[in-house]
Amino acid sequence: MDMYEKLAILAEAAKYDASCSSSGSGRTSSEGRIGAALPAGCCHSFSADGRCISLLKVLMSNACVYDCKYCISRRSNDFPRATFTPRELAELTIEFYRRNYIEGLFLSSAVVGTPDWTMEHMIEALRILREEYGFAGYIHAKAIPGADPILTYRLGLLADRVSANIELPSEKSLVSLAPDKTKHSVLEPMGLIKTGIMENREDLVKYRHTPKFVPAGQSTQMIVGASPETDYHILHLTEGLYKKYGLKRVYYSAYIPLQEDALLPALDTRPPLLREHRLYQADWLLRFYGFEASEIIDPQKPMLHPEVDPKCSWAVSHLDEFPVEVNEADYEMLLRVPGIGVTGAKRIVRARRSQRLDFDMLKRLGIVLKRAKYFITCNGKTLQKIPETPEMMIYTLLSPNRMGGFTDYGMEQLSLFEPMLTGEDVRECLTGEF
Amino acid sequence: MSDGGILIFAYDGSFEGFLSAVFDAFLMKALPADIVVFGDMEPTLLKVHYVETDFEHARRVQIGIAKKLGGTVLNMVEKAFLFDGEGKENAIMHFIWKAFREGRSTGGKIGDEEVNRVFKMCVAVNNEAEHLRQFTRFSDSNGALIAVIHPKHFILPLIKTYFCNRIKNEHFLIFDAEHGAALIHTPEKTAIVPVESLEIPSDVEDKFYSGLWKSYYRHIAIASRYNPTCRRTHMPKRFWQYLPEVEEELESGFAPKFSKGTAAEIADDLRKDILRLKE
Repeated sequence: MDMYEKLAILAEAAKYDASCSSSGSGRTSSEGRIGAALPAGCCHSFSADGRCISLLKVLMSNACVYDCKYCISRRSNDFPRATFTPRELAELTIEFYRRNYIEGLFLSSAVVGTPDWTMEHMIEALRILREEYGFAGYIHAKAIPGADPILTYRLGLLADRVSANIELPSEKSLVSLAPDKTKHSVLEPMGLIKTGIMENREDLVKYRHTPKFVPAGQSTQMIVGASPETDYHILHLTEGLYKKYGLKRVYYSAYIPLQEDALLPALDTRPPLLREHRLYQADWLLRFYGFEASEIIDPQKPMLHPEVDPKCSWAVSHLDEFPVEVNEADYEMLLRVPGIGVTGAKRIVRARRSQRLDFDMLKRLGIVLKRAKYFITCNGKTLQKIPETPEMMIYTLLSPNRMGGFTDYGMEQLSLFEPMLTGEDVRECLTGEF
Repeated sequence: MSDGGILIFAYDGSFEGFLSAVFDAFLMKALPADIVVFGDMEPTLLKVHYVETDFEHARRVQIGIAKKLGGTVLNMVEKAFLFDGEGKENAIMHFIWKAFREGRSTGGKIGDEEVNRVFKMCVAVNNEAEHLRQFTRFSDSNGALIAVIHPKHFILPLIKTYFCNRIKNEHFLIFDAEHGAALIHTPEKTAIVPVESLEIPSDVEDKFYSGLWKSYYRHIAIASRYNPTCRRTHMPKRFWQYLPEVEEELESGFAPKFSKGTAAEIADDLRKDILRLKE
């Protein structure tokens, strides 16, 4: 089997993994013979679905012994199978890298034979890259559930980021859809990596030449829309993962039906892209905007508002906290104003240090006032009064073409919401995850 | 003050030349109405002062800015000078003038009209540099790596470290066809040199790996998430000329064919594609 064939098959099988970020690791070239890593990461291309291509994202092999119902590589599917040799994969990575196609490698794998054998194979590929080629670029590797803890540890010494997919948002769904995996087998590597990172941090302080363990932290992914969990459940789970396991990222992957099964949504179900988008927005609020999950969503309304982004939703139900004075409000409060993001808030803080701001200056700073104008004052002046009720507020904030779908909360009305993915998806790669 | 009348400065287009112009303006205690590059100058009835590029003057201005106005202002001046567009010199001159009047904090006054002009130029230059870090593609020609780019602004100095860090042991060349300059790197040394034009060796095809990359690109997209608007927002069309992965799409104007539908249908498409690749 030639490289063309293997690459086609193993890219096709890897693409349902959402992560492609190359951020969180800063490494200069002095640590190797080729490659470096930028803390902010870098997207080198965007595929036709608009997703960032930062890393060469492939499986080591798709010849899986498991039979997870949602997965394209499941054992019972009649699908072309291929397996890279560690050396082939290392060479391909280097050749792509030197042409500036990629920032590094994202290596995952189906379970071939046993979890241990699979991990050893992956570790060998990373070892060749790091030791033989002296590759100092970014490597994201997936921990295989059920593998020996020592292997997970060795993987962590070679990779920048390690992730273990929790796959589905609850144990019940895991049992019914991924019968070969258990909550324990999924969470075990996550715990191991967390402990490894913490011990490594202590060692790095004590001993100068301690090798780094998973310097870019760990992430995970869950499939949204294949099982009945609510956004409320998912966001609280996410918050728990950030707090308890110290994860850098939680990825959501809108379920794409690939096969018929009584336990799964019908084949003609459209992937819940809007829901995925709203979850990412909420996730951003948790990580960068200082929100708690309980502020974003409550058990009475367990799904995020499809028409209004979660920050706007929060603002509309907390009108008493507005308007805020741009010249006085602290950075955290500025971030809570609809229409002001991280870049905008930082610019405001920088600019107001040396002079008081008026609305013209705000415009020059690139602050879009379309929505922000209801929530701010400049030197005590307002541009627009806050409407009296939250309902009127929502009505005002929606642009006219969005109102068309307002009576029907159907998740499928995607055509109304374009462009679907905002700058945030890029920022994932551009500004990094700190 | 000068002896009255509207004054225009003409200089050689170099950074040192521009700093010499700043020096002259301070000496004459007058801001010129405009600053132009010798070659671009149109016939004019206005009084023209021809700036002589003086490295000592340039150095003094540079040190003066660094000491009196701080790193932020100097950084903004240097970065904004890489901007390629009309009125650049005038905007930076006014900014420096203002900064000497109002002090160190001027660099932070990005809401102010004059400062904001320079701030926006810096943002534009930074964005362009980031785009070229993302979308520059090398072809391998007998072991040397070659890339041609057409950036809006002169960003070679800003992408130098990025590439030299990554592929420090390679021989590579990035030719900026827009500004007639090239970044040339060997394991021993790195330089940005003026290059009028570049003959690309005819053996630069690099078919094997660019072919693999194209195939990878096609197979990594998910058909049911097809979103051309989003792709173009993040990867503007003007960069497509460098990217092997969208070469065919750019030429034909048609979206690529996707593997679509159920796992069985995707498997089927994949088999067909593999057969096609084998031919």
